Amino acid sequence: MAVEGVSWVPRLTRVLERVQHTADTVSLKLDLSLNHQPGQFVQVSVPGVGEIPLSVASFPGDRLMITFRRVGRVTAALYGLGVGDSIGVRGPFGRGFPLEGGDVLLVAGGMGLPPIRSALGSILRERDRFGTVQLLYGARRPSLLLYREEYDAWRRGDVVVSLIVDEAEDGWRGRVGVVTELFDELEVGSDATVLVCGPEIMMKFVGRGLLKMGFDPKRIYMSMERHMKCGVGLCGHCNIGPYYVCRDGPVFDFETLRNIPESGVI
Amino acid sequence: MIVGGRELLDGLVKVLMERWTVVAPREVEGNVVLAPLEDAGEIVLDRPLNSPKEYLLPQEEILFEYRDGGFKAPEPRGYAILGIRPCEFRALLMLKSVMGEDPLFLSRWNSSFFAVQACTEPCPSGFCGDLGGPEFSGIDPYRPLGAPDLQYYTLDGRVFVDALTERGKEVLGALRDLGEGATEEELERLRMRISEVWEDMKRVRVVGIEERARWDHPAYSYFAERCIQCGACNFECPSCFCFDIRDEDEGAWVRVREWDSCLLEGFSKMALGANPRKREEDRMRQRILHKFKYFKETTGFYMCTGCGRCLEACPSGIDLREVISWLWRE
Repeated sequence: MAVEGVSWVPRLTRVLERVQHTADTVSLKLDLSLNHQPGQFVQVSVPGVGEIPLSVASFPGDRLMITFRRVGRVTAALYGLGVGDSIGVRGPFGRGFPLEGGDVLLVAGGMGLPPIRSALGSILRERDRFGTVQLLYGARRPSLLLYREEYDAWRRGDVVVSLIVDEAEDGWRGRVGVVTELFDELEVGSDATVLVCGPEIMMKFVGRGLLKMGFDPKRIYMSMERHMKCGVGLCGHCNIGPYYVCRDGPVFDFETLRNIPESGVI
Repeated sequence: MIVGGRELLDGLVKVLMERWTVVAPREVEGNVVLAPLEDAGEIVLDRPLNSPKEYLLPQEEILFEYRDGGFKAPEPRGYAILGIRPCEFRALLMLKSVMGEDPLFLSRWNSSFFAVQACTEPCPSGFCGDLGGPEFSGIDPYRPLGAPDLQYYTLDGRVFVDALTERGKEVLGALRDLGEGATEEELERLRMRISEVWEDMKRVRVVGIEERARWDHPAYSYFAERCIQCGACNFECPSCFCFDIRDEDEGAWVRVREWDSCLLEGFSKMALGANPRKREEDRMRQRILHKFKYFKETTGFYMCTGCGRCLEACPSGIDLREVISWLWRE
């Protein structure tokens, strides 16, 4: 019987390009154009090894790009893929970041930058629709900052890019500290839409700091991480409170998350 | 409704066997289990050890296979399932409300036939009194989600069969010669028995419990201390639906799903070992709140129909009725 709705069968595609960012982090560009909303995720399969959820790093309509760190069994297999290798994709899934205009503040920590990059792509394409746009990005070390070769293009697109690292390395003349310390460089107004992605502990302090500065918790959007297995609100792995991160998120507004003790951001 | 002797039940199985593999309670090596019948006479009236969940959502099943350059997805067929209790049928309705867009589940569901056995005797561990009671009536609280095709009752050696769907009426029509109409007196006795059982099954109040199941309730850590994290309660529960997905590579790429348990530590583990439910009490809380608060608030139904299978399965004697009582007390 043909059934509309959920399909477990991934689309098979190939790796077009592999970009090494750091010792354990790469991007793969795939032979598949994806019309997604920035902040949405895909389920990526290495045939015979397994499937994992990853944020979409590419701009909507472009060839799908994923960026990941080699940390587990499936990411190790993904990391080992080269140009021309087969890879499976389901999705995009979930709800992404709203991009409605006005001032936009983007806050990313470490491996949280990929979906924020995707949002930046959307903003840059329709830059006139937005007011001041600022990115605050923190990483552990300068060499771990992702997409370094793109910052100049973002700046040319009238995006304020503010960087900070936990530990300096040779040649680093920028700031050292945690991402919330960059709040003293804020150029957006407190009525800005805020898009946040990073470790829960970072998002917690970002949320707390922004509230103190008078930002509206309903306009602060955070991307939650859970181990989504099915991606379509069935398997139960990504429950937080009454929500499924895969279906109702991964992007939630901070007002909603503040009422869920398990969200880890309060 | 028609009434007859044991031959009416055997006749029902025979009619269904013409179109379905019939799954019903039968004896296997001294135990009563819900399993496929080979012969109509094998059906028994006792409650089986296993819930019907596995016949809609198998413990393990293939989602797809990739071989010879192409994907192959299974299109499973359902069963005629007899002798499941109203509580379990309600649980299956809940499974459907969650899994209704899953192609494998839906393929089974749409080709299944359900005959529920109403409870004319109370069961030892159930608490369905607040959750629909011992028969699936026309005003059943779960009726908006669906209805079984047939429902049968047994009383004083007689079998009463009633149809609740058009398909059920067709099957019942084929059994006319094996029974007769019920007399007013018989129906009255049946009604009396059902209401007695219902009274007996009102063992713990459930309605309204979502208001009491607060995040920081001490019940979670108290019961988590006894939990050995075997997952048996999840597996035996007919409405627990959580599953895991994994790949196998044995000559072909095969993706399977299998039942999972929210009480196991690995359930919510993420990359680099981060785990939002590290402690046993976090996982116990999730099980209780998912069933009695979150699911209720999002669907209007408790993800529990009071069948009592979890407390029968628990090797540490964790009794869900006691958990619910704790939530009320504190």
